[in-house]
Amino acid sequence: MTDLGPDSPAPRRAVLPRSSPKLVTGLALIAAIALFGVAGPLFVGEPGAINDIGLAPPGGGHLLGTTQLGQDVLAQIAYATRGSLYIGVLVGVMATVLSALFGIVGSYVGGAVDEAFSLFSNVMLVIPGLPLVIVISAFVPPEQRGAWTIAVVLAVTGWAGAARVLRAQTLTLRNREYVLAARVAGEPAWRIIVVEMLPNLLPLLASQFVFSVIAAILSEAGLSFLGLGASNSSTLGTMLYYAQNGFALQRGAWWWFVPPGLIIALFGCGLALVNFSIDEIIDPKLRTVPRRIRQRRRAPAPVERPAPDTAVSVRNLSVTYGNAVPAVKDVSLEVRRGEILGLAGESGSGKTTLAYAINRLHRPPAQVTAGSVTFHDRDGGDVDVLALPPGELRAFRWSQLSVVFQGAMNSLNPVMTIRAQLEDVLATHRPHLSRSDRRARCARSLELVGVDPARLRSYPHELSGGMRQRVMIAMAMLLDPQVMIMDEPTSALDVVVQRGILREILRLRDELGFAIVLITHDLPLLLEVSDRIAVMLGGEIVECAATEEILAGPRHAYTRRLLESFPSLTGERGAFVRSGEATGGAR
Amino acid sequence: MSMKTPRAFTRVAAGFAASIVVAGCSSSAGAPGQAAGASSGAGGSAGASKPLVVYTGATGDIQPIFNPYLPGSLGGGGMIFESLFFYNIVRNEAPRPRLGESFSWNDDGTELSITLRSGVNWSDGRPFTAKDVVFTLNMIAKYKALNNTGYRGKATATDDTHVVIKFDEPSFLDGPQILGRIWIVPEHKWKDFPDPTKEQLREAVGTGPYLVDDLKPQAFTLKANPGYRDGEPAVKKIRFPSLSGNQSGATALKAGQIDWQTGPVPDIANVEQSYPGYKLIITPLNQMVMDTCANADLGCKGPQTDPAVRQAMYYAVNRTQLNALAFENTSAEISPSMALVQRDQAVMSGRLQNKVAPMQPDPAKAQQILESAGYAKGADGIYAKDGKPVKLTLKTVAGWTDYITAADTLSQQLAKSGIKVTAQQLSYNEWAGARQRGDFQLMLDSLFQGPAADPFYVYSYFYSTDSTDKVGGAAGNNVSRFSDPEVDKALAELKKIDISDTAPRQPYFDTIQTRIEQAMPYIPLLTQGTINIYNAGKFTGWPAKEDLYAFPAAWQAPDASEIYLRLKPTGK
Amino acid sequence: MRYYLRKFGFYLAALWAAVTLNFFIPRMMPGDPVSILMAKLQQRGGSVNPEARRAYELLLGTDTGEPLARQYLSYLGNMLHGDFGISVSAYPVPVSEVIATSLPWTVVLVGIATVLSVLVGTGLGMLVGWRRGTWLDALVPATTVLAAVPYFWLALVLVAVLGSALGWFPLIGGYDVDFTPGWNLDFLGSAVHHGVLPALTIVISSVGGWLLGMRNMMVSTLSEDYVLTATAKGLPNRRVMIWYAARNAALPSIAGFAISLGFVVAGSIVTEQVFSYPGIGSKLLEAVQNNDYALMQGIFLVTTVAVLGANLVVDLLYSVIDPRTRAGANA
Repeated sequence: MTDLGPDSPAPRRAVLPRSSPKLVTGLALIAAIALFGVAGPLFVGEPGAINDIGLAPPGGGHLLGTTQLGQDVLAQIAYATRGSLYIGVLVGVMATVLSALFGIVGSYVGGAVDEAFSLFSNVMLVIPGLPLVIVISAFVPPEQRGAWTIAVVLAVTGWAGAARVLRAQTLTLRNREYVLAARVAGEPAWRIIVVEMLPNLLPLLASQFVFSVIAAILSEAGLSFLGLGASNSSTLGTMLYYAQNGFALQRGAWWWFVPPGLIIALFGCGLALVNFSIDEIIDPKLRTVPRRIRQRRRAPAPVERPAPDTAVSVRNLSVTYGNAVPAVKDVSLEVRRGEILGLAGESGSGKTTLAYAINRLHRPPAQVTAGSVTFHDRDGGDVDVLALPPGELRAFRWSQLSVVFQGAMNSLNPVMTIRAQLEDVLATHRPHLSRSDRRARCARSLELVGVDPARLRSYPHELSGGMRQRVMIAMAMLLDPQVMIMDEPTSALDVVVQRGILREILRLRDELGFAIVLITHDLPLLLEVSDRIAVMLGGEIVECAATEEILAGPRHAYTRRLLESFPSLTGERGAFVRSGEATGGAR
Repeated sequence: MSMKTPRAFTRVAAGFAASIVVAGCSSSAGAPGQAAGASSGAGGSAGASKPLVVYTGATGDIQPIFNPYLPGSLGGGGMIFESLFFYNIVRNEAPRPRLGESFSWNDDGTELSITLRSGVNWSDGRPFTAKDVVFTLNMIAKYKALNNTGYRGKATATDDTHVVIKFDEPSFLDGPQILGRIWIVPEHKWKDFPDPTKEQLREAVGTGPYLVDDLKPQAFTLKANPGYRDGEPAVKKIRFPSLSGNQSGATALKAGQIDWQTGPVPDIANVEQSYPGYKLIITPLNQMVMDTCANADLGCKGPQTDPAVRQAMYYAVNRTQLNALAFENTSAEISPSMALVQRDQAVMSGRLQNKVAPMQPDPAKAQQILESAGYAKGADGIYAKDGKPVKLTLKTVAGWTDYITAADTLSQQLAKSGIKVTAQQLSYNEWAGARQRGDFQLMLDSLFQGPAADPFYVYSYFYSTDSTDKVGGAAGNNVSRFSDPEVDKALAELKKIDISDTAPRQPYFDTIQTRIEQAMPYIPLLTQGTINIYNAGKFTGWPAKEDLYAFPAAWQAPDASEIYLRLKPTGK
Repeated sequence: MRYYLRKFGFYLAALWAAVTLNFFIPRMMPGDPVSILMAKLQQRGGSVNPEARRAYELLLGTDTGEPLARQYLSYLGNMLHGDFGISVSAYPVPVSEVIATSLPWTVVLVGIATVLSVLVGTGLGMLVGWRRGTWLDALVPATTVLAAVPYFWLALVLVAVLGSALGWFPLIGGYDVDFTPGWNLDFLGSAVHHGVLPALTIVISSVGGWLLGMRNMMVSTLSEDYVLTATAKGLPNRRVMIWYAARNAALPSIAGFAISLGFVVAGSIVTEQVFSYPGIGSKLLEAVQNNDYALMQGIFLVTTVAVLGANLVVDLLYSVIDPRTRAGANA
C-alpha cells in the first residue's frame, strides 16, 4: 500500500481511542444515561405507586407527567433505564465471551475444532434468531423469569455474527511473526491467546461488545412490544409496552410514550459514536478526516521552458500535510525529454510526495503550499499543471504523464479483467477509437512488455507479481506519454524478475523516447540505470547531478553516506541490467 | 361471558376465533385507495350499500373455514347456520324461536319434543325439514370431536316438522345447549362428507340470514340472504376485518373504519366526545375472581387452602379502588353467591351473609376472621399460623395490562391486612397450563356463564367435583379443585327440574350459594364489564341497557346475529 | 470442486441442525394447544363445558403416544415430502396453505424494503466515503441515530404523524379489501399505497447500518493503490468511484445483504404487528401463542430455508462478483 503520509514506521496500533468530538459526545451521552439509570432510582419515588391523577401532563409534582394509573413517568423511566442497561450489559458481556470463545479459541486451535466451532456459529447465525427467542423465552420457568432470562436468550441468539468476524481476524493474527515466534518458543496456547493476541483483538472485541449492547437493548424493546419481554422486571421496553397498551399515543400522552424511546435512541446513539472511535482504532484509515482545502491560488504562471529538451519543470514546490509538517520543501527540479531521472532518498524523505504532487495526485490533508509544476509539451505548449481545471487535469493525466506505482500487487483492480483496466484508459482518453482498435492496442501493448495477449482475459490475481508489473508498465505506455513516473516499480519483486523488468523499461525508453522519473531507495540500481540522480533528504533535494558526477564526487555529505552504505558499488556499472549477465552486479 | 379484560386482548386475542368469532378486514368505509379517515366522508351517497364493519378481535390471516363445529370457523352461529332457539344470557326471558317454533319436556326430563317452523328453505333452495335436525344431532353424536355441547340423546323425526329427542337421564339443563348452541346443517350437503371433522366447508349452505360474500386474508364479508324466511335483513353486508390486536382496532376506530368493536378503547370515559356518532355500552357479565387452589385433599398447597384466609382476602379487598385503577370504572358489583347481581336477583338466596360483596374494604372483619382461625401477626406485619406466614403468589398473564395493574393493586391492598401477595407474570401458555394442573396459589381469572340466563351453569362448571381433578391432573373448569358432596348433590337434583320451575329449584340454589359463600374457592372481585363501541349514527337498533335483547359482544354467537337482524342503516 | 463440496456440506449440516431444533423446541414449550384454545374460548365468551374440551381434544389432539424417536423420523420424512401437517389454529387447513397465503406479502413488502435500504444505504455510503470531509459526513451519525431508535417506536410515531395526523397513508392492512387481490390495477395500487409506510419505516431504521458499513469500506478502499492508479489514469470521477472504489468496497455489504434477505421473514414480525400487515411474521407469533406446533415448524423451516438459500445464492454469486473466490474454488 502506498503510504502517502510522511513515510514513518508503521504506527503501533493505539489501544485507546483518540479524543474527538464524536467520542466526547458519545461518552457524555452514555455517562449521563448510565448515571441516570444507576443513581436516578435513588432520587425518585416508588415507580409503581398508584394515585388518582392519571395521564397528567408534565409539570407540577410530576416532572414528566404521569401514566394512566397516575404513576410518575420520571420514576418509571429511572427504574426502567436501570433495567434496560442491566440487560444490555449482561448481554454484551455474555455475547462477547461466547463469540470470543468460539471465534478466537476455535480459529487459534485450528483443525477439527475450528471446523466444528465455525460450523456451529454459522448454523447459529443462519437459524433465525427472533423465532428462537420467542420459543426459548416461552419455556424458562417463571420463577427465574425476568431480566436474566431475556439476557441469556438474547446472548445465546446473538453472538454468532461477532464470532465470525473475530475468527477472520484471529486467522490473520495467528500467522503474524510474533505469534509464530511465541509458538516456536513453546508458550502455552492460552498464554499466546491472552498475552499475544488478545491485545490486538481488543478493539474489535470492544466494538462487538458495544454493538451487542445496542442490539440487546433494542431487541428487548422489540420483544416487549410483542409481549414477550422481561415481564417481571422493569425495562424501557416493558414501559413502552404499557404505554402502548394504555393507548398513550392515541390519547396524546406523548410524555409517556416518547421519553423511553428517546432514552433508548440516545443511548444507542452514544454507543454508536463510541463505536466510531473504536472503528478508527481497528482501521486507522478511518481516522484522518481530510478537510477539503480550498486551493489557494498561487501567482506563478507557467514557467518558461528553461531548455528545449525540458519536459517538466518544478519550481520552488512545497507540500505540507495539514498545517504542520512540510514533506516537500522548496524543491526545484527539471525532467528532460527521454532521460531517466533517479530520485533517491530513504523512506520519509518526501520523494513519493514530490512525485505525486507533480501529477496532483496528493490527497488531503497534503496540499501544495507554494511553487509550480509546468509541463512542457513536445509540441510546444506549456501547461501549468497545478492550475488545471478538473476536466483538463484528467485529460492531461496518463496521456502526457503516466505513473507506475509502488507495489504492483495492489495497483490493479482485483475485480476487473486486465482488458477492462487497459481499455478504460483508451475509452476515456481516446473515445473515438473503435472497439476492435481498442482491443488491438491493448494486445499490442502487452506484447510490447512481453506478456501473452491471452492474459487480457485474466484477473490480476491470476498473474504473477512480475507479470502484473509488466501489465502496469504496458498500461502506462498505452497513450504514449512523454513522462512516466515510476515509484519503486520493482522493489516488491525478486531480483531476477526485477532486472528483467528494468531491462524492458530501458528498451522501451530507447524505442519510444519517454522520460522516466524513477523513484527508489535502491541507490545501486539508480546508479546503474539513470542519467541523472536527485537525492532527497528531509523534503529537500540536497543534490542533483549526472550519475557519473555523483559516483565520482558526491558533493553532499548525505549522498556520500548513502554511497558508502553500499560497499560493492565499484563493479562495472550497469553490467547486469544492460547485458543481463548474471554476474554479481550490484548487491 | 367473559372477554377477559379488554386490553388483555391485545396480544391474546388470537386466531382461535372459535365457533363464536368472526373476522374480516379493515378499511371498510374509506373510499378505495383513500387515506385513513375517509369513512365519514362516505356519507350521503349510498350509506345503505356500505357494509357494517365489525371487529371481533380476530388476528392473522383469515382462512376459509365455515364448518360451524370447528374452533376456527367464521361467521359464527346464527349467521349462516342457525340453532333452533335463541337463549338470551343477559336477561331472564323465554327462549326466542329461530328454526324451532316451540318445545316441551316430558315430566322427568328424558324426552324433548320440538316443533319446527315450516316453509324454511336452505340457501340453495332445498326445503329445511326435521330430517336435517336429526341428521345434525346424529352426526355430532357420532363424531365426538364435533360434540362440543355434550349431546347424549337419541333423536327421531316424527314428521317433517317434529323432532323428538330421548335421553337416558333427566336432561332439563342440557336443553339450552341443544336448542340454542347446536347449528343445524343440511343433510343433503353434509351426508357426503367422508369426515366432517376435517371438512373446511369453503362454501356454506345454511338457513341463516347471511351468506358468504367474499373472503380475503384480511377480511371476509357476509351478505344478506335474500331468501331469509323473515325477509332479507336490512343490513346488506357485514365485513369482519382481521387486525393485529386492540391497538390496531383503536387506530381503525379512530379512522372511522370500524362500526362495531368489542374491546377496550382509549379513554373510555369520553368515548362519545372523541368518536362523534359512536356510542358505548358496557355489560357486566364475567365474574372476575381470584382462583385459589383450595383443596388440600386434592394436593393444593399454601395458606389459601384455609377458607379463613380466603375469607379474609375477600373482606380486605377495596373493590372501589380496584375498579377505578385497573378497569376505568367499567366493572360492577359481584355477589359471593356467584349469581349475577342484576339478572339472577330472583334466585339469590336469602340465607347469604352478603348478597353483594362489599365495595369498601373491611380490615377489621378480615383481622377478626384470621385471628379467630388462629393466625397471629408476625414481626413483619404478616399473619402467620404454626410458623407459616400468609404469603401467596398471584399469577397473571404477561401483557394483560389491566390484570397486572389489578394484581399490583390487590397486593398493595392485601398487605394492609397482613397478607402478603406477590404478583407474578406468566406467558399465556404457561398461565393456562398452570391453571389446568393446579400449579398455583392464586390466579386472576374470570368465570363465564352458561348457554342460558341461569346460575346453574356457573355452579356446574366451576364447583362440581366432576369437572376437577387432583393437582397435576388436567382439571376441567373447576380449577380450584373445590369439592363438596352437598353441592354435587344439589347440582344433580337441579338437573331433574325444568328451568322454568323456579320454586322447587330454590332450596338447592340456597344450599349451593351458602356453601360456596363460606368456602369461597374463587374469591369474588368484580363483575367485569364487556365494552362495546358502536356507530349509532350509521346504524340504529343496537341493544341498550334498558333493552338487552341479546348480549352485546361482536364475538358472541348467536347473540351477534340477533343484533344484526335488528340493525337498520340510517343511510348516513 | 472441494470448495463446493464443503459449501454443500455446510448447508446440509445447517439445514439438519435447524430442522432438528425445529422439531424439539416446540415440544419443549409449556402448555398444549387444547388448553390454550379452551382458555381463549372462555375469554371469548364460549361456554366451555367439559364436553367441549373433550371434543376439541379429539379434534386437535397432538398426543399420538408415539415414542419421540419415531415421531422425529416421521417428521423428517414428512418434511422431505413438503408435508407440514395441519395447522391447529386454523384447523383443518394444511400448514402449507396457511404459509402460502401469508408468505408473498412478507416477501414482497420486507423484501422490497430490504433491497431499497441496502441500495440507498450502500449508495449513500459510497458517496459519503468518496466525499469525506464534506457536509455529507453528517449523514453517518444522523442515520445511526435512526438505527438506534426502537423500530416499533419509530413506526408508531410515523403512523401517528403521517397516517393519523396528516392522513397521507392508510394505517393498517395490506390492501383495501374493497378490491379483489390479483393482477388488477386497483388492487396493486392499493397494495402499494398500503405498503409505503411500513416499507418506509423499515428503510429508515435499517439504512444507517448499510451506510456506515459501506462508508467505512469505501474509506479503506480509497487508499488502495488501484484507486490511486485509476485517478492517475485520468478516469472520470464517477468511474473511479463506482468501478474501482465502490465495486470493491461493496463486497462485504453483499455478503451482509444475503443474510439480511434471509431474515426478511423473521424480522417482519414487529412490522406486521404495528401495521396489521397480512404476512408470515404475524402468523408465527400466532402459532407461538397458540402452541400450533405444525405451523410453527412450517414457518421456522421456511425461514431457515430462506436464510440458507439466500446464503447459498450469495456464495455462488460471490464467485461471479469477486473473481478471487474462483481461484479458491479451483484450488
